[in-house]
Amino acid sequence: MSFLDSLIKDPKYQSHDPRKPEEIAESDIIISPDTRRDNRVPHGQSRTKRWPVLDAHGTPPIDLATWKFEVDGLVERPLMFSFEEFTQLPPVKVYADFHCVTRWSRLDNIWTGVSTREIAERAGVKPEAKFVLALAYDYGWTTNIPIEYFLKEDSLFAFLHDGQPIPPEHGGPVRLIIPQLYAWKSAKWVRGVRFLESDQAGFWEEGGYHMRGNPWVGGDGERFRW
Amino acid sequence: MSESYAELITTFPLFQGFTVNGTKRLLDAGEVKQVSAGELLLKEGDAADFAVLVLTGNLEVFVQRDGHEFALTEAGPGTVLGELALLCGIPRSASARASEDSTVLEWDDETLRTLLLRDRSLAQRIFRETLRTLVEKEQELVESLAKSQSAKS
Repeated sequence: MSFLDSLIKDPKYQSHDPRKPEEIAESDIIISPDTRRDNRVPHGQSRTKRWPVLDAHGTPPIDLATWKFEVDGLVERPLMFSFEEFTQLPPVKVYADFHCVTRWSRLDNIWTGVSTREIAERAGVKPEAKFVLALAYDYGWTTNIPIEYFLKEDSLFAFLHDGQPIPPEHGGPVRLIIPQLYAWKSAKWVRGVRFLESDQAGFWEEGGYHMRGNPWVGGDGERFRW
Repeated sequence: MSESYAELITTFPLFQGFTVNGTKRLLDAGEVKQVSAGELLLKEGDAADFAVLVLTGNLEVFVQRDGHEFALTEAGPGTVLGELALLCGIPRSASARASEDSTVLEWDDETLRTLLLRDRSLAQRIFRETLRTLVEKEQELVESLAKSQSAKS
């Protein structure tokens, strides 16, 4: 297969220019505010038309029959969902860009899934919860997120990307998506969230990655703590 | 002991921002080795199949020419040694010997490559440090050439 062929046959290759938010036809879609910026690519980033695959340990095996999603920590009602139960929760659609700390940005993505606000409301998050630790299926991987970013209107637990199930290498069956932070905060293979009073470094954060990871601030974005 | 090395690594400038859990992963990926004073750890010309992070003690880095040793530098705690030959796939450019009883964390070829491929921040740190050392060496070389030139004229 030639290089050109591999591009054409890559189902996630974007042959079109990114659409503007006003070009998105669906009326019920949540538009991520960063897609309304004049320049949608943060400083130090370049647009990719592909979707690079990066992870800490490789894609873990996940069986949908035993998949579960748990919510615990500072909540009134700890929750647990099977995959069937989770995908029957009221869905939301989000139009968002996606910025990786390794300096690529994938613009123009439509995510379908369950709003983080829906989960937080069902669990009854206690007022003292200020941070969220997302837990993933890949060998204890975690990431920490300030609760105000977790609860942004465009944050969700996605199971579809551009209308198709999220491929395993991109974090399916369910991936946390936090469009307003660098993409490592969008935990692949998410298996639950824990609400915390104080910030607790996740996997990459333990290696000096930024505790917040906002791509739009700090000159070159909040990438690392060094 | 691993706990105290994990604490120690967090104090090295190269690993600024790492937590103890983060440095534990670096330790778990490699092997801690004791090197006695006088023991040769790296040998010039040898194939490079591991790199080390100096944890305690001190190593002298040198080359040998016509039976004479020329000291290049010293490597104390927090210094990574042997990564350049490994990453470039070339033989060791210098030897390293413990000048006192020392401890190093050794990563084999594949482990270091995997660490750097998966952790872009760590890769950036190591490459920056390695390139900085090379640039310094080049500057020293230029200065020494200039000196020998002016001595001739």
